[in-house]
Amino acid sequence: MRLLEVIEITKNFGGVTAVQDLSFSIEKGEILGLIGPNGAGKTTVLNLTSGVLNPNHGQIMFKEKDITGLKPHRITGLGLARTFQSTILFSSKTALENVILGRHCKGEAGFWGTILNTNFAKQDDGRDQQKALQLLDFMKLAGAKDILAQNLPHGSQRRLGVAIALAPEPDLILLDEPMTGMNLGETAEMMDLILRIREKGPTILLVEHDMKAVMGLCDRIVVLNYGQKIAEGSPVEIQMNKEVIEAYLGTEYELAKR
Amino acid sequence: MNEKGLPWKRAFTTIVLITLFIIPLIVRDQYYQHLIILTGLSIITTLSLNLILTTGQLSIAQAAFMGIGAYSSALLVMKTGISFWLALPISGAIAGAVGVLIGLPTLKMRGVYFAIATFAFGELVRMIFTNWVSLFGGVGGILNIPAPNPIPFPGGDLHFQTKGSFYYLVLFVMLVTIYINYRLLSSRIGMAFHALAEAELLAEQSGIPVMKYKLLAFLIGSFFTGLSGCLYAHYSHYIAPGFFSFWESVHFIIMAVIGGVGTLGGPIIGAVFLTLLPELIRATKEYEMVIYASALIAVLLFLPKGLMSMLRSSKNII
Repeated sequence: MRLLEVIEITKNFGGVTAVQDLSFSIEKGEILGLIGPNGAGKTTVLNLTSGVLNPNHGQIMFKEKDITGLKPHRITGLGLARTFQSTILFSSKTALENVILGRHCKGEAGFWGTILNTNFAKQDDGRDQQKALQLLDFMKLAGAKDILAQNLPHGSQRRLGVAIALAPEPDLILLDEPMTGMNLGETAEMMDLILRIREKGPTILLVEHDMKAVMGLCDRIVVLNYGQKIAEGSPVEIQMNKEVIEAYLGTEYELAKR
Repeated sequence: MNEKGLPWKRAFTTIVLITLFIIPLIVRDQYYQHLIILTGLSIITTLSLNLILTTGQLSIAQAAFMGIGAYSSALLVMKTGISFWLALPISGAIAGAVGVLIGLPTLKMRGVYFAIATFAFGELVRMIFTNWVSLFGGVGGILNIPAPNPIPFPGGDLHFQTKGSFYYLVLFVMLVTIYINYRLLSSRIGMAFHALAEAELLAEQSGIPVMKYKLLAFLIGSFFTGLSGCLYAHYSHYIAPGFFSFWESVHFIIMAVIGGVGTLGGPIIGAVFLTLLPELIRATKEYEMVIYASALIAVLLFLPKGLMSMLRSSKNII
């Protein structure tokens, strides 16, 4: 089943075309990599998919529903979550509160129920607490639950960002460079976590510059350059693709592999 | 809110409530009763403003919304002859509706841009009160606004002409305001208010309807501020555009900031402190702003999160 289908989207910023006639799709259960040089339009694609930006042309279908032009919080509510390239957290809140906030759209008590603190609202709060603790445990942050997000080390902050995105129990999660600024050990840990996330359920779209991680994790890869798709295929096919090597991977990459 | 603290908290709330109910019986002095009523009205307005500030939007139009409530109710009662008890919720609703109309286009702005927009709106409202003489009475305002209609009660009607009796009306509206704010701020919606002020992009992406919540805070804030304006009009029997100026709005901001934005107790402490402080040190009106400014600077320097943070750190209430 096609979970996400991006159909010929174009995004212009003034005279600059950031994404042009881009189409790709994600099958349920796979890890799709989205790679390309800086400025190729990867983050723009994520912003378009998650509703932060609206495309000038084209359509985005999620679970066979047209989500083009919907507000980000509605898209998250439908089961499509994302993380950010830079570390954005609710800094003055604890790690646990951060994850609970990520579950905001899962509330079932409704507005008046929440205000009047009905049993529904109490059930919401209890469920949030329980699920958030499970998630922190899953993301190896159990010990950090009462620590303010701003006081966590970088690696933990990145994992907390992923935990917030996982909080609403999404069907698809867009990871925007989750390994940024991580050392080798942290990168390996994050790779392991990404594989475990996939086992748990959510399909993953991964934008990442760490080629070892991308090649090791992804089932399929889409390569962007100047806002256009220049290649699509399995990691092996992508590593052999002349155009990709020229535009992004570089000849050193090819030599290093030998 | 740990389980251990609950009985203690309950006892505290009960004591405070009893004290509030017997205040007019203890404090007989008319001037002090007057001050206490003004404090109550300040608490209602400051809590309303606090809700808007919690979502990260600095509104400098609170006095204007008070004015809208005050003028709406005065005109409704005096021109159409409806009962005060009907005019009270209607004036709040009018203030709330104006809040939504102003909020829809302006709440997308952040920081100083929103502040400027609300400042301009506040001045616009004051200008309309001043210059639409046939309806609002111009600079002179509206005189002889009647006290609330007596409520029929077995064994004698309830009148609201004396300060002691009007106090109970203010107390009632104040307690409702405090309750709604308490419920809201301690719920997941209140938590989302804080979150969207801190990281709007992440909040929106975490499924929090940012614009809707900002509008909600603005609507509720405007509604209760309108109620406080309405009460003020029928208490003082006289309103004029000068009562609802930019400086009055600034007063409320200072009260909220000194007490501690985003908490429930903070705005209450700030409103009480700044209404009573100038009186306690027996200063004349002209030194009031000096006292306000000094208090503000002192708090910002030593307690950047407001007086409330001092109580918090000593593991105290709420």
